[in-house]
Amino acid sequence: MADLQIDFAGIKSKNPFWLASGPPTNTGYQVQRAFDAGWGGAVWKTLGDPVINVTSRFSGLNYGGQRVAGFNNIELITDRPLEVNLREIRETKRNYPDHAIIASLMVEPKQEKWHEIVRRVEDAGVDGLELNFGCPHGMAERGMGSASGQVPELVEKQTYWAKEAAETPVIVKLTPNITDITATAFAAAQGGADAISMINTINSLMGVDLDSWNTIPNVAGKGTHGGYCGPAVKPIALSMVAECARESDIPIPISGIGGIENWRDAAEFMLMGASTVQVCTAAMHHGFRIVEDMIDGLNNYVDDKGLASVMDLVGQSVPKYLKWGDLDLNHKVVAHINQDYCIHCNKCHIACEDAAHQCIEFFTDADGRRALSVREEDCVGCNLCSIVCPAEGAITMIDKPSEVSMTWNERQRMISMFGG
Amino acid sequence: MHEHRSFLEEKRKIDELLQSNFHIVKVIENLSGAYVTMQRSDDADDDLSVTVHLLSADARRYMTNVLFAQRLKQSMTGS
Repeated sequence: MADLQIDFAGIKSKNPFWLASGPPTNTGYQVQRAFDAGWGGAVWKTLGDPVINVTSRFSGLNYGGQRVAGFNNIELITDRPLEVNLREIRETKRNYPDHAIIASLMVEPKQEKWHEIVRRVEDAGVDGLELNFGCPHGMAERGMGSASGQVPELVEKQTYWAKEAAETPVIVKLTPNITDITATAFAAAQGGADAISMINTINSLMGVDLDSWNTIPNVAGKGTHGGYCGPAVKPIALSMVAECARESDIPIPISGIGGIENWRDAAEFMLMGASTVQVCTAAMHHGFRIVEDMIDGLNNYVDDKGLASVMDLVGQSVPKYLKWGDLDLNHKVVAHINQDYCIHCNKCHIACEDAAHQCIEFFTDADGRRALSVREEDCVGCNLCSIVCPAEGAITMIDKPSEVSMTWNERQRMISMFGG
Repeated sequence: MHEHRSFLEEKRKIDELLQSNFHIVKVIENLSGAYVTMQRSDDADDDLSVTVHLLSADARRYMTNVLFAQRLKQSMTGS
């Protein structure tokens, strides 16, 4: 039985699975049910000056046979008074003292506003604070959320203000709606953040109804941009976590968020540098009990890898994530078609002809049947054929390692010595 | 189509020059590819130089590997 306990910037949790701030952490009733299901922690739905939310708030992107491949929301922060939330936080912490409760906070970028809410929320007994500099909709129009999270100076200053008043660890939640997330992550670290979390949701418009021409979702026929999340955003989130994790100038723990819906996703985020993961959309789609499989799966994985603690996973893949210019130009992979598994659908041939390097060609086998093979010397190893192939095992990519490596950066340095 | 043939042709030009005691002295890369100037090694009687225009990515990769090998050899021989 592996040790799944984590210590995240001083916040202890019996496992790395936290509910992210959002609809599933709106009330004490929900958070307590989540803790009963096995979640190690919860980030309470963002507290701030109460708002009024619209109805028709969510929309899901169904792609192929998968429901909720992506998810969009235009719901704002809590619409309940602070006192009500704090009473429920107190009660939840009293009933579940070994679970981590982190309060997500969002106020105007004013020092006194941060001081006030930090003190009042900490008085309720939270284990940590998460500054919401990420929500891209609604609150951003009022200068909060991603509007302030896109300006490194504001991130640093507001983090500093929160830290002036805070006695518990301060996590800064970053927006992905920015060109380089390491700029704001660095600003958070400079402001004194104890940790960062990413990603918040991505600017999105889910769709347009082709009959009514209304946006999806819409409020009385009118729409607005929302925040996109769910499995579709996982690669974006993973990349941003990795970019921050490899920066020595950002020497603080990372909580990974974005499309995590099973233990495999969680393990990937941890390997890329996250020491806790937060989940929202998957809990909204499947319910709190998905955490049971997550815990079992991660436990088995850590055991199988011969590790004592889940913390031993953290960051193991970060040294393998480089800038493009440091990849080996001499290394080659080529596609190989396994005739025993090929179903002769020709999708690889079409893909290669139309969108790649025209190196999959027909031949007639010994029994007189038409089949496909790869002309290896022209294969650039793009993987497209194996991606589009519907027959498991029919196309494998074979490594053809070179004896010496040569990166683009090494090459350019060498060329520059010869006048290039 | 069959870009490998272009690579083989460009590689052949470089290899022939290498076999004739040429070495790379200058590389200019621009939108049109790489222009690789090769010159006979020092002990040759003349200072004939030849410029090869490389178009294919594989040939440009190959040329740089040749360059690395040449530098390694030079550092080992002190030349």
